[in-house]
Amino acid sequence: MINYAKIENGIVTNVIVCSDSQVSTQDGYHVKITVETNEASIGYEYDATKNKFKAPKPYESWTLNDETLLWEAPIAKPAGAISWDENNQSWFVSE
Amino acid sequence: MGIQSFTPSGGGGTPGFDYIASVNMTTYNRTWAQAGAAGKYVLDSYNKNSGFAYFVGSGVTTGIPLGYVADVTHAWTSINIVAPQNDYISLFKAAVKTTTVFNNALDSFASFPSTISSSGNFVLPNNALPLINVMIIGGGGGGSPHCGGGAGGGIVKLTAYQAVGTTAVTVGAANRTETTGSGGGTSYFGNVYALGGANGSTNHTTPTGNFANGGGVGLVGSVTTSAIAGGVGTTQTSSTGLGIKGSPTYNGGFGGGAMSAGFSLQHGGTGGGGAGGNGGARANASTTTANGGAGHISDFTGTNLYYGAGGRGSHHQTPASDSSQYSHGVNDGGFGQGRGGTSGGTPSPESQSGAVLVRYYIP
Repeated sequence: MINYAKIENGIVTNVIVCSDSQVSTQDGYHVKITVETNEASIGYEYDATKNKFKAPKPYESWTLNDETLLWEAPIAKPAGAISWDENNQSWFVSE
Repeated sequence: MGIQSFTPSGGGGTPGFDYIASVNMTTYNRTWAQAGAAGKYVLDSYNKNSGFAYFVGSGVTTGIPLGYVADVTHAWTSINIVAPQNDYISLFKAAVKTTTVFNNALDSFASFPSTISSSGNFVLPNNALPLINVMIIGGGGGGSPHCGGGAGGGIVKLTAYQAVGTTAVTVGAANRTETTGSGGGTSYFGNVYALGGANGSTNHTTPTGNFANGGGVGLVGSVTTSAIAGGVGTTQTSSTGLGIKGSPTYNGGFGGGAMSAGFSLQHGGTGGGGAGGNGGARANASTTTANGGAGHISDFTGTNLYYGAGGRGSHHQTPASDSSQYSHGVNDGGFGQGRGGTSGGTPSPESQSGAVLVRYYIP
């Protein structure tokens, strides 16, 4: 299943299922979502130069990796940890 | 010359209209000394001109444009007419016959469902009637890690919709991300659309955005001090869905489940809203997952299937297994189901993309 993101003024306005051969039937400018582009969702930004999508900033303390356009926590995510605690600036593992 | 009297005929015998008499408009404004009982009448211009007339009774007058059937509820003794000079105006009594409801004529034709799960064009067969039934399903919302279930996509149904030869179709994708606020993609049939479901929420936030269904609340790593409402769904209407043609119905807009206050967290989220009901709430730390909202059941394809069910909320150690307690999760053939909350790094089944279903008729 191939997903395409519809881009308007640099913002993702819809994400659709579409084959490569049929995307030309769709109104507007669409970008194919691949592993290289990062995931895309409605409201994400699209950098045409890098051909990558950028999610909204998840936490105030996180910073953007300018190369990958992925947000990174101040502390690297350890294995098994699943959630970030912004108040304590740390990862925590569920009970 | 005295007043001419007319007694309308009974209900049977004469189809259409009973002709009564005509007058010549020697001036543009004429009073006609014609009497009659209450009933349905038509005054018609011989030259098909516009005009107006009044049926004048005792203390009551009924006015109508020429060419329209008037339901005159009172006896009358004259008719005042305004119409172009030299026209002829004829008076008819409508013979109203008994009728019965004409059942759906489409039922007598062979019908064919078409399931469109990828964007492109719908092409109506040349020998098909130009009236179709359509069900548009938005993409399912994503589930949050460790928490709230994603909402099912909204549904817009069109009955006896006037079809054209080729109609652009867009299928909204399932949301694969785990971020608050975004959700499933929007599906279109021409310019009629169905919104996607919201993502499940995490970290005490409620889903935001303009989605057909709300996502469930998700909670991570803190303690509730007050109850938290589930995400609020957006019920589509003709103004939000452009479904103004045909006979649109809207299914969806149900919110996600709410979280009660006062118990230790890290114990999971509530269910996402479904196209047929609210997501399940959570009031304790039970390992039982909160149910997603019910989907919309339809036999559109010939088999009863659920569409747009909300995803379950997860327990912190148990990812949600499917979409809801109704066993219409991600594998029953429907579309637009929301994703359940994930847990402990173990993902739940993915949400489902939307679809556009079209049923056309061939005589």
